[in-house]
Amino acid sequence: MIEIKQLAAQGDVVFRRIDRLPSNAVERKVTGPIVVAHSETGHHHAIHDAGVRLFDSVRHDAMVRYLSVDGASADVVHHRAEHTHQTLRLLTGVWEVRRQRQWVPDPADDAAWVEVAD
Amino acid sequence: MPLTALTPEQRASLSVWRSYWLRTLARTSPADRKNAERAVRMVHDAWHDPLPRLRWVDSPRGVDPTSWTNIGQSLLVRRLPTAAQAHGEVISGPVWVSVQLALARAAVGPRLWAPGPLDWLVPLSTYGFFRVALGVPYPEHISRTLDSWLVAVRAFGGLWRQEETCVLCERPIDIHLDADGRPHHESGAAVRFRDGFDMYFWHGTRMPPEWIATPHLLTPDLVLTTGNAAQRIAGVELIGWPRVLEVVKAFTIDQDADPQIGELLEVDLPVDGPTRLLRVLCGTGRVFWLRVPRHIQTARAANAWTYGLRPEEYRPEIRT
Repeated sequence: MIEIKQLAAQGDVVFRRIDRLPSNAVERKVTGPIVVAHSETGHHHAIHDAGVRLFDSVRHDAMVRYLSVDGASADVVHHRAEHTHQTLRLLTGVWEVRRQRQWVPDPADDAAWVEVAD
Repeated sequence: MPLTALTPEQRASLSVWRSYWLRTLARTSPADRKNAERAVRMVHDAWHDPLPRLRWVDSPRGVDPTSWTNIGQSLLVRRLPTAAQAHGEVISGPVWVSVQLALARAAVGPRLWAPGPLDWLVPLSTYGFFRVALGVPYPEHISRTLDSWLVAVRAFGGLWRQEETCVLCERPIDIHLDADGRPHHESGAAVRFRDGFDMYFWHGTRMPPEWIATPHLLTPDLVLTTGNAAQRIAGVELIGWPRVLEVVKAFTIDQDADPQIGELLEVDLPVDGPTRLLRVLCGTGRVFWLRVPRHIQTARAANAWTYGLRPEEYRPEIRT
């Protein structure tokens, strides 16, 4: 477990501390563990601690989400038996969660990209 | 008053509907021919289109990609989206768009094997969410038609038009999907039909069977020069960049001292031209290769771009 201060990557996900939630972020009610990032192969990045709220970005951008860690800390655990990314500990505060993408060649769209599947 | 916002509970039910839709479209039991035909007739009647002759097939075997016209071009694509949103009187534009975006991939995914554009499945799935999952009241003349269309899409496998015939296709007997609901199988056929016809897919991209079945025989030259852009991308994923670089020379644009920031390379690919790649070490000790835009100049900027950050913002304390 590694406690992070400002910014760290866990495989195809980055966690970045921000000052506050964007004013119109939409809370996503979750029962059970919070799946911070779904993995195509079922190897989710998830938080099992209580006292954490998950928010969608204003524009429903699936690549960016937010976490409000209201308790002392929240551990982000990577669920995979092998090549497991080490657990990251987020302290109290607001965190931005960013998924990783890669560029794709597309003659019709120079800015085309797809989500990275780790 | 149109629906102008979703409550958190309603938003939560979106993922339930998405899972339901994926399961429904991926069913492998025989088609419910009676309901499927009834719905097709009803939609044609409701929209005053002459009813074509209906014909059932077991698979899309032998369908010439140039010979069909998508039945939706005349009926569904044009009429379904506005009908389903009921011209904004039932659902406000922004709410409709946000739900449609959330459902876009899953709405189409399991049917990517069917010939023809499948765009009409997106507004239909969006309509189903509002109508079935949330119970939003629609005017009867709209819901009657679209409800039967919801029944139909669950009843058949595929639908397309060949000349004056409306072809209805049985469901597959076996289908493998990735987490986005797209046909995908790493070593065999992703979709098999009752008549023995099968199709190979890599994350929704139709692939030549031998690419998937015998990947060790697949050469970088073949992958890089194949005419279909989606197959070129999928083929590189299949064989991996290290094998590609055995035949294509790579130039280092920038190399960071930290292997977890990595190296920015440029390769000149036969069809795609100059392509920039980030080669980066992950915390688990594996090497990742990611394509980045051509304007990227440093390995750090490449990393930052992959997470949607500016280069100066990407200073990770750790990469696990």
